[in-house]
Amino acid sequence: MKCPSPAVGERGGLQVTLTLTGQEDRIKVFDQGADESVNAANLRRFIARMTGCSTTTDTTQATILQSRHRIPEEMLRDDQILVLQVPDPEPLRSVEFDTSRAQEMHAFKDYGLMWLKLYEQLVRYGSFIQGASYPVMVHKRYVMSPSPIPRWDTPKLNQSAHLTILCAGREKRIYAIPPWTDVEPLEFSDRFFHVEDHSEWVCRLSGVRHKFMNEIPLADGTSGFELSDTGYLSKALKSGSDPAQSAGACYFDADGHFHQPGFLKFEEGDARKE
Amino acid sequence: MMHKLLSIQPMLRVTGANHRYGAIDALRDVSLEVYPGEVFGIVGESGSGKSTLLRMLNLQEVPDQGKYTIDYPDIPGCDLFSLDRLERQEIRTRHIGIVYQNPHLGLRMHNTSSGNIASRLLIAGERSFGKLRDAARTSLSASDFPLDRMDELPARLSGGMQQRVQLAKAIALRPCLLLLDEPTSGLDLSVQARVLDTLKKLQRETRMTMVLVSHDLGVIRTLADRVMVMKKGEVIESGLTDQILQDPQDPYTQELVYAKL
Amino acid sequence: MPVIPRESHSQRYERWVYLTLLRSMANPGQWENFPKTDMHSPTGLLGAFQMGCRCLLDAEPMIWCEPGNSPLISALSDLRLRWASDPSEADYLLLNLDPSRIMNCIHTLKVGTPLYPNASATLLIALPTRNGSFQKANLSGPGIRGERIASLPAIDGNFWAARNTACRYPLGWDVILFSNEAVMSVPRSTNINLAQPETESGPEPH
Repeated sequence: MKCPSPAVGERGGLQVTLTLTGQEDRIKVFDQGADESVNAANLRRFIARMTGCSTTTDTTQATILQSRHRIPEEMLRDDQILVLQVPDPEPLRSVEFDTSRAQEMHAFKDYGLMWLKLYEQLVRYGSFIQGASYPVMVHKRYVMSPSPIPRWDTPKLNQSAHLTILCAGREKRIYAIPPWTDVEPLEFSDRFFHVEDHSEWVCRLSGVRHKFMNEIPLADGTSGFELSDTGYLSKALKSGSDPAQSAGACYFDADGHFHQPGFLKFEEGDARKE
Repeated sequence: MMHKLLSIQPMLRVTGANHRYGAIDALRDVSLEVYPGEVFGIVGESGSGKSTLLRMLNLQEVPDQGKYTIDYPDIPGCDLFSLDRLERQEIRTRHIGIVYQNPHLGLRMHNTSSGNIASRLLIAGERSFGKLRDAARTSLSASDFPLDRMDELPARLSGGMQQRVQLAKAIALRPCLLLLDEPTSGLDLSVQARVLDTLKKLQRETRMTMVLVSHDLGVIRTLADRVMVMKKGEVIESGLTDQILQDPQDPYTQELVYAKL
Repeated sequence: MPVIPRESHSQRYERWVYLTLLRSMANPGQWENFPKTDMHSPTGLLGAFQMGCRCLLDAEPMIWCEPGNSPLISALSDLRLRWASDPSEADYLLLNLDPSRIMNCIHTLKVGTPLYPNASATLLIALPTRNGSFQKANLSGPGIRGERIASLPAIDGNFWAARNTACRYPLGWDVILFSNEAVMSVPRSTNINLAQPETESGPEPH
């Protein structure tokens, strides 16, 4: 589809966001989860100036969300659009450098080498070590890169209510995941995909647990943890460690359970298995 | 032996294969039949066309002319050379195994040895980690590979061990046809003898149909039931291995045999 | 910081049409209303259809249009489209006079190849009325939560059955239907279960 786009250079998600956004929109831009990083703040200001839209850091208030590296903790709705920036849209690059051969692998659903990579991780490290851009199978047909989001955010794309647009600015490619689409992290039938285990980590600012945390080096040489999603953090701070008072429903609830029961599986004997 | 062979249908049949690379006749009117459970040897000097023929049997390449059929459940009864590249690849993956002289052609050197075997099953759709591990152990045991080294990279293994990993990978999906392209040629004589022992044992236990290409008549004598002699893309003579090696008719074959002796 | 208004009225309308098409592709089998506007914009069915065409088409793909549709061709002349002489060559087919006429060659439309599933046809169909006959169907697939019962415009008694024959995801063709004020998409990824082969007449239960 041809985008009615103002003249802007190639900046990945930015171009798509500018294409979609107008005066009537309220936009949220966040980077590594933070709305106030220099990059996110600059982008947000730029988009607002170019389009006349208003801005917000509140996930639930935004009409369009542009992100690098995170999906918010609060669930997106069917009237919201998430724009993710993808540095490399080819998920097979790590196992097949030859682009035309990779294209054939997609064409014939020949993804054995992707599972071989997972096999090797299990053999050598005992677990899947890929932290970001964890490959997913879309609509039981295509393996896709979900952008450099952590494993924590990957299941949020499955059967989600919102439309996700992924754009690789450098390669001038965009792809999209419609709402209510199967997006399944690659796993074995007997060894499962797991999100990062932050269950023991407590946000030192808000006291919140069971959300994605950043590890912060402290002055005394130890480390502390802080909520990575700063929009969510500010809600948590307002309502004193019970964000449920001001925040919307989250993909992972206050006990760390994913909102789609059974989607994340656990091996026999795993303490997290319910 | 001959009687037994005549009473059953060939499993593999190539008729009238002709192929040219530029001005060179790589194959000239080559036909052959291989019976289920036998080891069929192809012998000749380099440039005789034996490796070209093996690539065709492996469906990596298709000759300018000729037909190829394999009589086996799940393999289409048509001329396999007439299939498109992906259909051929599917048959190769599921039903044909190959061991190359050069392990770099047959192995993914940056994957573990067990991962190399797992890759065959993964391409065929297996998604259970437990079953992949089991299959790797089974195949590596069958090729007499020490299981405590199954998760080492092939690059760290000796030449003989690398051939055992190749063999395990080739037989992982229990192919109906195992192709051996100079499988022991790069190895020390003592190592070569042990790898040949493994191949003999495997053949005895599984009755897997094998086609063995070698320039080494000793290897042919050890493994092959029948042998076909090739020169400059043509079949010079063929017959039972003992017969050909003891009483070669063609002067070229005589030369090969006596040079060896 | 002062806001710099960059968007003209027509640009805004263009963006809205684009968003509407995007949403309709993301929600198969559902009518998405074009935004109400008091701005100057093309009106009527030809207007909505034209706006859709303008949003989707440019000088690159091959376009086929029903013979004798000179009003549409001249209305889109500034896009410098490349016209296909036969439907089987077309990336886009513009059907706004009598869509059922496509039925005689519906099996020749491009469905793409495994390597290039995008080298396939998109049918842009304008419906003179949304009160024509409809075919009830059960839809599922991406963009649909569970199942959705939809009323698909009948176009021709066999159109949706032919579409099901053509679509073997990821191969197949996409359909975008236009009415005066709304658009409905049926991408190839949608499963259509034609529950009742007979068509129903009357206004669509909206």
